[in-house]
Amino acid sequence: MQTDVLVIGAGPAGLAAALAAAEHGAEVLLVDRESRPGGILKQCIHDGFGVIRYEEKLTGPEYAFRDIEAIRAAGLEVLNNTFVLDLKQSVDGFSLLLQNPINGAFRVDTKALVAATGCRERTSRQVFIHGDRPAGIYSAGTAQNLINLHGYLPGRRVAILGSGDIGMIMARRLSLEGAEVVGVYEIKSEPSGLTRNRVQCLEDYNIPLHLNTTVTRVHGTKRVTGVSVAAVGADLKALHDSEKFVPCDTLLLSVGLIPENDILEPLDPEFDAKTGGPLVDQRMLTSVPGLFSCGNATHVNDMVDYVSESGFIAGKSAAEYVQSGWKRGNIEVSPGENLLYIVPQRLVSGKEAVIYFRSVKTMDRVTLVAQAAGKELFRKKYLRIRPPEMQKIVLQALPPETESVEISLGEVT
Amino acid sequence: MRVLNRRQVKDYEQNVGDGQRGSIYMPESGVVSPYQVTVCYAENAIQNGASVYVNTRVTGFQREHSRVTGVCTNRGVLRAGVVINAAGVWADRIAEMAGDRFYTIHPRKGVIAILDKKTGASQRMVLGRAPLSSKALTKGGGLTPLLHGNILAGPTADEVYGREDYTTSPEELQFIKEHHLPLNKTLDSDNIITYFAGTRACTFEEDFIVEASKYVDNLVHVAGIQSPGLASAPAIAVDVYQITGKILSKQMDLKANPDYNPVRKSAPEPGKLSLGERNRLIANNPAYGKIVCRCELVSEGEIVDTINAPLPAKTVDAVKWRTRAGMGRCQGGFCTPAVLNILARETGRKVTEVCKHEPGSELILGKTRDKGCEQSAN
Repeated sequence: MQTDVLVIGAGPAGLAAALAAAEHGAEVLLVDRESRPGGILKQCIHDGFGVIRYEEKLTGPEYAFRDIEAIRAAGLEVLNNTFVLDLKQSVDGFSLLLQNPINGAFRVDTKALVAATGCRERTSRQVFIHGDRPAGIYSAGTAQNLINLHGYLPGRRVAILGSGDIGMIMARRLSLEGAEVVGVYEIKSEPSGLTRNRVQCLEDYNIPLHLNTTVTRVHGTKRVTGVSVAAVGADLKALHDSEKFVPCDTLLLSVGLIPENDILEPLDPEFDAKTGGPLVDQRMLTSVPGLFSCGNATHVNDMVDYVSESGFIAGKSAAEYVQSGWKRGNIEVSPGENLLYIVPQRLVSGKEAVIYFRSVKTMDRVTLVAQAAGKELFRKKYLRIRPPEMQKIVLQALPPETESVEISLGEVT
Repeated sequence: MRVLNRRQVKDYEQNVGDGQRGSIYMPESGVVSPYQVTVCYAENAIQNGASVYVNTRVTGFQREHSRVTGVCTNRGVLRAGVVINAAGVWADRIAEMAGDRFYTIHPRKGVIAILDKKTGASQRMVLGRAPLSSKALTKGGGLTPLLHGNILAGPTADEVYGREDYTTSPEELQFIKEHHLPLNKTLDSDNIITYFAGTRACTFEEDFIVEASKYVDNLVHVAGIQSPGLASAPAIAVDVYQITGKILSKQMDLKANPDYNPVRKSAPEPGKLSLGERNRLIANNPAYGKIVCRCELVSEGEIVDTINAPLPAKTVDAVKWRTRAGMGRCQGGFCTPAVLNILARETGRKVTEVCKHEPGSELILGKTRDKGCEQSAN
């Protein structure tokens, strides 16, 4: 089997990439490991999706449905239940070994590859939770899957560690299903999710949010019987004098997401340690010729609209790459003062660039400045900027002699 | 066995940590999967006529004179010609119930950390720090490359009160981070995907007890087995076989089983097959082509096989230990719902009856809106 552009993952990023690549004249194959396309949107039955792209508040399945319908209308081939078993570079692109229950294991060659593989949740062990190993410890996304896709209630009295968006959304969801959420515990001094979720999911349901507090131990051997929680000091270490027992039968974790790029290992693209995703230019091209990255596999986004946007860019670029075979841009974009990360990390001259960034901390009345060789390229003022809320700017095409761009956040001057 | 100097060690293991001054090289040491070995033994025994009762607790013994005539359990009385006490950390309690307790078991906890498969390529052999003190409780632990590409770090060794104390603490994990991880300088604590604890069944003599009871005619003790217990198991089994034979020969005429078959046929493992064989397997049964565990690439067919195996895996943890589904870097985040459903379907139980490891560890507490409906009815 052979194709121009192979897209791995039929979540919002992959759906957009497949659509855009086909629109720009490429032959496209979209593969997904689940039995239905839509990715994680399938289980996100709350609203708030599409506020930028459609100026509407859709649910996750509704948002995905629009792209899936467009994929059907375009007559694109989608392979469900399909896994990538092996992936390597070939003379003119990539050779993949795929497997599904209908076709078995089979090889596909492609000229360009779009990795829209999404992200996974940090586990209880990755945040070093201790105690025994009882049933009742779930990541927020697993609980969301159980409740929304299967109708199973994973717990009746629930403590939530971490105030990521999925955790707060699940606090509301569990309350609606008759469970009691005893509290959301956040080690940092402010919630790690969006403000709208804190208001709509916690405050509206009288669910207590405990900042500067963490879970130090899980109790129970068969099923969770409770958790120990403690306040933390400035070094984020638990203050054991403040430790207290909170009875519950379930601990949910919403402690961060990790871009999932493990299948790219054989290609060895350059990674950004800050985002956990491959280094890309504004066309979402990685350091490996023909390999594109988009969506939450590149960096964890706060809004699906941006995920789709990066998918469209990656798909369009992949189609253009197949026709003209250009290389990744090498103008380095470095995150300066107060910036957690910037995507893309590289730019090519002569092309407008959509740039996403997050700040390292909550800041009021700040200015974002982009400059190259001491010359200011862009400036924007923000009344308030918070790390959970990703920001986006559009940078005009750079002249070919540009070597590097520095973007930083500072006090309003 | 060979003594290597500092430089020679580097020839074998490029990434060995700084600070080593030489090593003892043991070319005959090897690594097996303790889960697989144990399951293979058990299933081969079942194939040859043995029965395995799980969730069955021994509560006492019926005795006539110096013989055990019945083993009382929570599920009834079992009759046997010989009773072999291989009860691990509870062996002394069982011995006491049978009327022959001449040893005590004290549990010694060991915590182990498992590192991501990405680390596997950085090390070829088991690396350990030799304990130089005569008071050392263990061989010292270290870093062990596992069969599927992970590295195992640990174990620790601490005397504990609880015989089934499987808790971990920050201090124990810190010990592994400081003591074991530096043996390979490419490792750091971000590589840890999980950690867990077990208890060793130690006697005060720190030695195995493999012998017939002196006071009960038909009781055999196999107790105090700790490291290297797994490697010793085949040899221990030969001893137990002889002891048991001697006891039984007084009760009956012992004849070799003409149908005894030492070969256990394993279920298909698609990942180990050639492409052609794999495709024939999938064509016959598409479930082998449907991957359920994305991190360890375990198919639905393999999970179904293990649930219906001679020694059936009936819990989520059992499926994990047998197939590796849920053992990978996402730790079951994605496959747990699917494994739950497959277990419920294959065992004919409700999903609310599926346990993580034992009765009482049910994962799902109800259907959504159960409680909501009750409330609105009030």
